[in-house]
Amino acid sequence: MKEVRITLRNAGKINPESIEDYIKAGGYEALKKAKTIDRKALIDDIEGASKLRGRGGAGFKTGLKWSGAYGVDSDVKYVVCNADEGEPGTFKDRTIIENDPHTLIEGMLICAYCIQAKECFIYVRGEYTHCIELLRKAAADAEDKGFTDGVKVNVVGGAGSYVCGEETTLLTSLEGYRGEPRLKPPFPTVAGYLGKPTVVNNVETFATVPVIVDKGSDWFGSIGAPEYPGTKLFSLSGDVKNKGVVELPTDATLRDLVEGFGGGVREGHKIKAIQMGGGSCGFITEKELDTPLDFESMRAIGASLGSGAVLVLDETHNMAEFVKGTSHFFAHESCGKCSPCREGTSRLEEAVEDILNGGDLNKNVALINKLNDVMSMSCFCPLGQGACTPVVSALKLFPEDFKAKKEA
Amino acid sequence: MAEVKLTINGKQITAEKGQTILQAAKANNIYIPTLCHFEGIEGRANCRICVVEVEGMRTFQPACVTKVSEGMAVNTETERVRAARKATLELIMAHHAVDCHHCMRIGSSSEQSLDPKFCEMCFWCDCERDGFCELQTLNREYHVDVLPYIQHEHDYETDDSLDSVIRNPNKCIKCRRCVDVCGEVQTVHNLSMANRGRDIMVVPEMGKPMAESACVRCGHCVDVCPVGAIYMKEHKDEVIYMAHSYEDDVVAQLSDDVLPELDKLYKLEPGTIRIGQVVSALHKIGIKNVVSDEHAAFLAAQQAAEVIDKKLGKEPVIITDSSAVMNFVDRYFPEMKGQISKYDSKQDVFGKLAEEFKGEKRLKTVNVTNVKEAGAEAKETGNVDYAINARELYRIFMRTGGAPARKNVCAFDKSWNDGSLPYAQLLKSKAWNLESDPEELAVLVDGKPVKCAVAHNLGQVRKLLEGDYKKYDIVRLMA
Amino acid sequence: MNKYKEGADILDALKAVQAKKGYLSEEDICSVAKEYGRYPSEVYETATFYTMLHVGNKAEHVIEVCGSTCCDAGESAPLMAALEKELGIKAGETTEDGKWFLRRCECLGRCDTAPNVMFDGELITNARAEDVIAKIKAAK
Repeated sequence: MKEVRITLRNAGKINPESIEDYIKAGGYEALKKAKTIDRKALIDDIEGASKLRGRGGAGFKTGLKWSGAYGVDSDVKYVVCNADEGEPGTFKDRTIIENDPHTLIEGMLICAYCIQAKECFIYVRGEYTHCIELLRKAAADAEDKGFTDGVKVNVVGGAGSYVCGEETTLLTSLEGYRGEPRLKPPFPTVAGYLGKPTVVNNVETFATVPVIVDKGSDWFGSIGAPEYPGTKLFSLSGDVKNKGVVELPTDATLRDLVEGFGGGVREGHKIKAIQMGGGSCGFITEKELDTPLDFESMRAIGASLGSGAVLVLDETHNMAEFVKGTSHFFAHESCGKCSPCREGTSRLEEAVEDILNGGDLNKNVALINKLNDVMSMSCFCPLGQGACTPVVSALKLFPEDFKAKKEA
Repeated sequence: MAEVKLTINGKQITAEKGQTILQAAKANNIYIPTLCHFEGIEGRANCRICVVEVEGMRTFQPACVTKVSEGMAVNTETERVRAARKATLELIMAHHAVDCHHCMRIGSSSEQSLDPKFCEMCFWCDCERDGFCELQTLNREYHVDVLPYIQHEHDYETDDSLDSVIRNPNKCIKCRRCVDVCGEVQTVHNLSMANRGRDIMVVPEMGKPMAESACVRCGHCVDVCPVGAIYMKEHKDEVIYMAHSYEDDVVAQLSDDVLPELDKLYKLEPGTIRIGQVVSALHKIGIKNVVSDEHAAFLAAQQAAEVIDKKLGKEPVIITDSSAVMNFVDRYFPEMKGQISKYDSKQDVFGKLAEEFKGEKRLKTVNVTNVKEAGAEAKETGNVDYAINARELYRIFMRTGGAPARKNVCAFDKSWNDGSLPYAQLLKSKAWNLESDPEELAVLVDGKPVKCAVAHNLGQVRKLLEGDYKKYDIVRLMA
Repeated sequence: MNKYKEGADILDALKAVQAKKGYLSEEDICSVAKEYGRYPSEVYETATFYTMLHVGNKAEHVIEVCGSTCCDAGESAPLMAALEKELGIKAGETTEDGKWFLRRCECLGRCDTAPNVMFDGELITNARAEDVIAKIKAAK
């Protein structure tokens, strides 16, 4: 299987700081073409033929989202790009921005045209200072060249909060408040930033749009898996020989990625677990390496594609130790709004820690299951709902790692 | 209003479109437990106690904010939902300084032995909310007893810098009712949420102690706190002591605004307890002189009427008897200070007229009222020795066996022939509310209608002082 | 009540103010609040929420070691232990002279170059204890 570069088509080929380079590579042609097409027709085309689905993790149909915002009658609408890439193990959005900031901006401008928005925001996680600078320059250049055509592209930085990657939380943060999730409904397409209809998409989603407009939805729809077509960027890290971002058609398998591009694990070691989708997702084992990398196939094996993070762990890792780290992460990143998450995340960490310290295994496992029951059902937002997933998954797949500790 | 048909626990009901599941359930006598929800404040869905099962939804939905929709099927009492609520309560409890769960007197942590009646009588545990605590009530309902977690109590210091409104962050459950009342309703914007995750806490502006903060001492945060995290310093012991002391003569002013709350606390039909019975009960505990607040109200209103008569028609008349309003003006509208006429509150007046009762012994004054700022006012101005509210009064009665409902009606110890209240419609006592707009009324002065506005909370005060006061001839401000 | 007040760059404004001295004082928060027409308490709420903003923490140097999954898998724990030993404090503490503040932070989005360290806002990838300690010594 070969890498197919659609979203990353310009990566390494152009100077990301140069708008001329981007234009030479055919940049902003898609925007021009889009503006010749009827808005509704364009949205329908993206929804129907390209079947583009959000690359942030939820896999929501992009066209459907846009048509939602298009259909709301409002003078003011916004386009917001979620570049608050905080999911552990994910660095694909950074790769896109660092290599080709203009494709993101072009994608957003196409969206702004479709839903008739006059202002765009790119919310970049605060730690990505380089990306913020690149995007600010790119936005200024695009405006100088007249591509923005009256649409304002703002680049704002976050200030360190994982939960701001959740779309309603991102909007609250964008308004300058504490990063706490809002109620849905109303969905952002109806009442988003400042209460106005807002399309929120991931960097990868927007960055893919120009190619779709340029080469046609049918072309895009024919690549990869039929229900989740196109390519997907994967952030490969952990105990593989080659780490980095790889763009693969969605009918490639996990084996293509981990063994083909990652080069497998170090000599003399073997894959123990793969955390697929990011820090809030469960684990899969070597047995599932032949699963295609699309949304439905992953869901079918009880895993999730998530943000496309692929963290490979070899047998030197103790999974109990590892999930202690993930549960610490959630306890640290919980916003504190709802009680099950605020209190539950640290209790989860405590339970895992107690197991590691030789505490009563059965008691702690029962407690973890109880926490999972309440948090997955009662928490306000996906952070709390998914916080127990890695621990529960590790307990199921690698019970010996938890027992071993007790005896040691 | 469009109607929506749905089922709750299998029962077909009709609700109005736009209603929440909680509202629809309440209207149909279906009980859903709540904790952070407070009628009149926009729901935040923070506590996750009111979660219910909605068929077709992946997760439980909070009833306090989820809107009803056609054909919705809701289940409020399934085993799973109840288990989730209990698990949430356990999580909250494991991080709550639970004075009531290790009560010295009971000597047990078992929830069954915590009879509410028993707690209300008891002075042994430190919690001012014991017996009235919404968390405690839920714990009884859900049999939250032995916790599966190691109890972690924060060791935040209690902020008693004001010596009236006291904060104990160790008991806070982060429902944010106080933050919403302080910020959205009263627009004082003092109490705020700091930090995140498990470390979040309610703090006065910039994390300062209350005494140095923007607090205006209106006391409404105290009123909405479901637990003992923010409370008004109570003086039950002191009042009982004074009443029994041979060295003191105690005069109490009694306001009938405590009656509805007393009925509620005694679980009686509204209107059961009569004011004369409370007089009798106060006599019983040793308070010799009890007077009505009507005379103080009359004298205060006379003061206000003088201002009105002097200024009406010449300049806007802005009057208030509230020291919290004056604090609020100091902070947010210092330039308006000269235009606002402060007249004595009933408590001020009472403090002065109590001198009439001075005999050989030391004179002590107690104002019995449900006015929220009374306690802080007593502390700050010293106009009376103590102000006690309905809840404290109830506890005093529980403790001393002075149940008013079983007493004979007794007359006040002194009465005055005051005649009718001037500008009664405007100056009579009025209750605090959560509305955003002030009350408008027309008062007849010399046969001509005069436009008046009454602010029932500080948010309305803000609205008026920002300019709306110009639309009226007379403006009365309450906190 | 106006629920949605504009303020898309409040976080950037706070970061810019903070950049001058490393932390946010009460005056800083009040001045940003004034600029955006907000109450100081609202900006205080925001400022205490985000990990990149430090309210009243006056340490001169801030060292953050990423401890999220990939860096954890990349041996960030021994690195942290070495730094704790060097500075004589535990993670989350400030040295007695108030100069150094050490803490664990969460994913910096550089998982391919684990472990990662933020040294006074400057990123160190593939961080080795010796390198970071050398930097500490140089700054001392």
